[in-house]
Amino acid sequence: MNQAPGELGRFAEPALYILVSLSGGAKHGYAIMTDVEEMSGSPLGPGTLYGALARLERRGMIEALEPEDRRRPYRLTGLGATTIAAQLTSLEGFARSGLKRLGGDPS
Amino acid sequence: MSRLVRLYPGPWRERYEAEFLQLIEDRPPSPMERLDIIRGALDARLHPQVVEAAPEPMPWTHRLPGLLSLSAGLALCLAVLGISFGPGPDWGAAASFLGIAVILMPISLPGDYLGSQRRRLVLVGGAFGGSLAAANVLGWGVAAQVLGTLATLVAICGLLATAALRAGIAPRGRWIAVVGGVLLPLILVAGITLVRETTGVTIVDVTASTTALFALPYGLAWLIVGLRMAVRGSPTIVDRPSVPSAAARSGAAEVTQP
Repeated sequence: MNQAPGELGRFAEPALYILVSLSGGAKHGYAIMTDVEEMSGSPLGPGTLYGALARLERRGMIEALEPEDRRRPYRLTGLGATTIAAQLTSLEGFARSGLKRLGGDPS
Repeated sequence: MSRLVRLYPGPWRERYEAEFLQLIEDRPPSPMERLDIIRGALDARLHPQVVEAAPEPMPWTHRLPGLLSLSAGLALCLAVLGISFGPGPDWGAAASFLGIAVILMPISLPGDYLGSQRRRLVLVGGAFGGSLAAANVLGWGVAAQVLGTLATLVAICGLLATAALRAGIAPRGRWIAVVGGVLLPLILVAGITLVRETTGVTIVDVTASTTALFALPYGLAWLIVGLRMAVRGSPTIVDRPSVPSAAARSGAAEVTQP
């Protein structure tokens, strides 16, 4: 199943969290897991984390750096940065639209 | 915990296992997270995320020593069967096969290990040549027969053992091949000859053409060793894979499309 560049594909939500986490700088698995837990309020399982990492690496949105001991940091690529920016913009528009319909503040 | 990681497919583990184990060592998973690992392994198997890079095709020259050894074994087997069951005393095609085997056997192995095993080759060749010379000089008397048989035995066992070593056969299998396939039949022939010459008792007529069947296991052993070398490539030419480093492992795995 090939997907167009810029799409997150299966398990988009964990991938989105990981991309946001890496937007703040390179991190290894444990640091990403902790960061995502702080952002979302719910833990990201190791299986889900590494499934998403493998997919993002395969799609060229993140890249692995040289391992530090057994911990291998990952960082965002140019494609990953573009993708997360597009996704967040889309989510922002979606949130605005939803809030507007609810009669909330759309600003 | 590493049992759970073993649920993941091999290529995935080659790429991610070390850091994944470090992660679950840093943060031991809860029962729910263990289920998440199992689900992740299932997903990795159903939707492969990493596959191994295809190995480069082996050049035919790496298979050449094995193919020659295989041909030598095949020729020897055909010669033995022809001599044993064909019309004598002129064995016709069987004699041709024997000639081919005799030529191919020394050619196939030196081509494989001449560079690294020069001394061993000289010793084996010397023992073989010496046994023939001794047998001729002594006119095939009892001493010459025993000496010649033993020297030839040493020579061909040495060649076979070296071939088995080159083919990467495990030590136990190598010795079973040498002892069972070569040593026992030849010791039997030497023993029968010795008993006949010293006591006059004929257990088996070693001059009968069917005695050549004693050499059949040797031909089969040579054929098997050659087949293995032809399939896997010559260990002398092909570098044996060493234990890959973490960096090499990550380089060996290629990330592919789903």
